[in-house]
Amino acid sequence: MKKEDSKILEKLGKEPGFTVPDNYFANLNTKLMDSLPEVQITEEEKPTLWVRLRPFVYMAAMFAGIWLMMNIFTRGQKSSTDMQQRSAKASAGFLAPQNVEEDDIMDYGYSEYDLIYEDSVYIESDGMNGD
Amino acid sequence: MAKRAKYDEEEIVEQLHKQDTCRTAFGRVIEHYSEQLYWQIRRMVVDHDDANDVLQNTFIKAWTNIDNFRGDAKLSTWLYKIAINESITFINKKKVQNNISLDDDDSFLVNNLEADKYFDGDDAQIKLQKAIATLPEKQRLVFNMRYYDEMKYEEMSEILGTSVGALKASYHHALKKIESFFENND
Repeated sequence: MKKEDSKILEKLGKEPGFTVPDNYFANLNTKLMDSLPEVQITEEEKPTLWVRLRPFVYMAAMFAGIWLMMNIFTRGQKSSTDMQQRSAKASAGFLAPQNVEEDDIMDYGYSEYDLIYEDSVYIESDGMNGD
Repeated sequence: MAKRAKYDEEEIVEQLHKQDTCRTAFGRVIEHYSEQLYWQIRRMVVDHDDANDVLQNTFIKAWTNIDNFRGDAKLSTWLYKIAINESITFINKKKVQNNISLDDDDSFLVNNLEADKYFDGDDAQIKLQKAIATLPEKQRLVFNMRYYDEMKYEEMSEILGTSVGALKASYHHALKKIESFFENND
């Protein structure tokens, strides 16, 4: 008797007092078998190799697709970043103050001056011709 | 006498799903479970003839639905579930036949226990059966499974679909009610 059972039940024991007809259990199985109707069993078909492998193939294809897309995306991103870096580097190099010589500035100034000067001479000569 | 092969549930379940072996395999299932299921049903419906009918219905139901049994649960759990459902259905039908409300307890089942030729218990055992019959259905089931079958709460939980904690509480309440029935009917 378990400790959870009550004192009343301890006195009673576990025999409920039910009985069965003589040889009841000896004949029971045959009677039960005779009472069973005919049934049609749907036998489970053994899955083919392809059916068994299909989910794994689909999964592998999915991962390959994802990998391919990721690869294309990262490669595209890398080449555009490279190009940006290269052009930034190039323009930074061209405009860097240490690369510009004093002579270059002078030349640039003179060339501008020359252009202005030539224009003014041209205008003046035009004016004289017109008079 | 030919020696019977050992009962191997895994093998039996496999055979149950093949047309040429299913009937023989089910015969082995009946052989293995009929007596324990009979007592489970008998404690619910009390009368021997009723228990016999419910047992037969239980096996017919199991047999006609054998395709639905895929071996996810134990065969015994599945059979117990069917037996319990069949017992409850039977008791409810009997209540309707006797114009008893479905909400009333099952005391009517033990009214003629003294006169039953398949009952040889003494007065104390009759009293215990009457006390058990006053319990709500779930508490009756839990009490019978635990007290008479000494079934583990975990197994009961699988059969009845109730948590172990709730089953322990049910058993405890059932014991208290039985004790108070004995105190009030001295």
